[in-house]
Amino acid sequence: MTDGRDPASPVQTGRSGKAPLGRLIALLASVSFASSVVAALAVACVIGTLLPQGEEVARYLRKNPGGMARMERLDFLGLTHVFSCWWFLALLGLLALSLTICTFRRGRAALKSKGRARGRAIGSMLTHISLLLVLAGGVMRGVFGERGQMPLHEGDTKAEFVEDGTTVALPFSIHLVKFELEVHSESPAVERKARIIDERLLVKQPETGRQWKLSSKVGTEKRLKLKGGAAGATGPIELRVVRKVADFVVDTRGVANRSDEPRNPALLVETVAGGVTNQQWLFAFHPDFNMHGADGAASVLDFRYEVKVDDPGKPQVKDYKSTLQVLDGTNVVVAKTIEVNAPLRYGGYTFYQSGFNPQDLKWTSLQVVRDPGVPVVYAGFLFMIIGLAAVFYLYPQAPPGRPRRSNTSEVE
Amino acid sequence: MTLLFNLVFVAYLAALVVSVVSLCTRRRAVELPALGLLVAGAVLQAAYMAVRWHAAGRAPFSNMFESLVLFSWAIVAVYLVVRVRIKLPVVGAAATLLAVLALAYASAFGSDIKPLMPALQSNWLSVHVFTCFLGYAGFAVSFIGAIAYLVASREGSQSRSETADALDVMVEKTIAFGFLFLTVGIITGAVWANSAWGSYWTWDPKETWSLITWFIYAVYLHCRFMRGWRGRRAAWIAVAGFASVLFTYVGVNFLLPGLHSYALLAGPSHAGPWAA
Ligand code: HEM
Repeated sequence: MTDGRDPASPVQTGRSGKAPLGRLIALLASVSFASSVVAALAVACVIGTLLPQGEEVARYLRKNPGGMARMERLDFLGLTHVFSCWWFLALLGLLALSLTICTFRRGRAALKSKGRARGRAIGSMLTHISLLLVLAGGVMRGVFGERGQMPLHEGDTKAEFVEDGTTVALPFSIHLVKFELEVHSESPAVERKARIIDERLLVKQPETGRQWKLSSKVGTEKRLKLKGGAAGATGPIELRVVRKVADFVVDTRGVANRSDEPRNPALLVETVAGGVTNQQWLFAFHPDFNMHGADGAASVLDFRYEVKVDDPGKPQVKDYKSTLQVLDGTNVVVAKTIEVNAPLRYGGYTFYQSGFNPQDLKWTSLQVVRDPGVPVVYAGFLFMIIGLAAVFYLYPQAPPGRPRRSNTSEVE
Repeated sequence: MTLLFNLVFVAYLAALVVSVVSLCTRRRAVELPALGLLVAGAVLQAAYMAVRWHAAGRAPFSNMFESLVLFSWAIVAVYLVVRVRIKLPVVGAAATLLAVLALAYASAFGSDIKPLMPALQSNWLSVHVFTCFLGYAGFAVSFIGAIAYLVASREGSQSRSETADALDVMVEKTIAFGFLFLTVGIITGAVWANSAWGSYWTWDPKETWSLITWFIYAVYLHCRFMRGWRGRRAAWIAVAGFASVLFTYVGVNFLLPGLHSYALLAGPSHAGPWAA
């Protein structure tokens, strides 16, 4: 085994002499430094997927008002927006710096070497340059990019879109001729009924952010011990799931189940708190109708009945399209019918079919994007594939038998 | 079509049984039948995917079931290519086991052909899924090699060091293969996202985890090629890499949403094939 540092590694020995700057440059260009930066980025990415990010934070706080202080601390460290916080960007900057230096330091030597080693060195250079291009494209997106929404009604003409609540003007206008929605008519699974595939009862104490996840089976019982504040007066709360219906209606006989399909799933929950007995219906699809009482358990707790439905019979959207015209003044310069996966490009802007209004099919919703970095990023993508293919397959390392690292020393 | 699927399953299962028997009895004579069964299974599975492609009118790479079927096929295919160079029955048995597990897991998901939501109706998506899973299969085989290496190179192990060296090289080659295809997979995914939503990268958990996997293997490649890491240290990175592959594939869908209590209502944010 030849584990361990490779004394022949040209990067480790460097040739920048002993000057502090030279040593810094040698460090930045070393493979161990680069690997550490990449490993740190990987760790940052793990953190960014484990903690709630961006909009999730607001949702998290709505659910756990008690978590405010914790979120503020995380926010201070950038942990609520890892992928745009200063230290993450700094890591990307270090990656770029390291890549740039090592490309320059090895570039000349790479071009001077011969044969297989040359192909391989150029391949690996191309791979590294491609990464720089992707990063540069990302910077261009951040600096020059625009992104927003543009809702349009049939017959409307607009020369502006909304980005984060502010209106941005376009140098031309967009006219919606018509919107079309197609649904799959021959859904193969129509005979299968809709059914609930997952459900639960969530109880939350907003004051402390405490939460219980309970089964929504009829008969489920739970004694909830509350802590703190106003809840102290209430003591423990006894909770019981009394009744469940899949399709809630109220008719002459009171509450009834209209069908077996989960069209309006509802749960009747009974609570006993401080001698007060309360019954309330929870509606999975209409949580706003859940009762909020002034007394008893409902005054200190929030209840939520959550279900996930599999509905094979529901007509499935096959496609949706908007027929657009680009107007320069009153002249139609371009006309195109766009759909998901087929946007309209004009004047540096791209118009994506992003949504529609199921209640009013005269409306379409467009995503408007301007990202001058895309061609740069795509060039990076192309180089990366070519570079990697060159390193691994066009100019593979010396065949076994010869010392395996011989070609790297040729580079130097 | 179900018949064909079952036949594939039976072929792989039989190949597994035969190769385990051959391993235990150390009888080389049964090795060839095991290989034959594996090849037969792979051919039948290719036919299955072709039939499904024809029936659906689109490439059969768009949901959990279809991707698992592709995954098991690709594992067998990568192994069969690797076998041309090194013939270690343990590796064959382990690859067959992984293929069987992937197929068994696939049958836990519905196999109906469902219409695709508009964003998924894209050739980029098919290329994306295909290349990703080819890459994942390379990593799966590298994982087998790494584990075998770690066992073979234990202190006091009886294995000849040639075996360990062969495994070491096999891990490297399969990772290089996997890395190339994962790269193409991430790139085609980005291009697809850009054509459907106007953004090639949004840092959603699935994307981010594929990048984490990519980073881990990039570190492997540098440690190995530039710093001469060999042996156990390199093998451990290969193991970590495959753990990350599995998390990207399965964990992101089933574990991450659980961290956020509203997951049930919100659904997955990655509007990829997994959302369908
Ligand atoms: C994370 C993204 C990166 C990827 C995918 C990547 C990929 C590669 C590949 C495929 C090779 C060729 C291996 C070989 O020749 O056997 C390589 C070599 C190398 N990498 Fe990277 N690399 C990355 C980041 C970096 C960074 C940040 C540095 C900064 C110092 C770096 C420094 C090097 C060096 C010095 C070599 C040897 C180059 C040569 O032989 O010409 N890499 N890299």
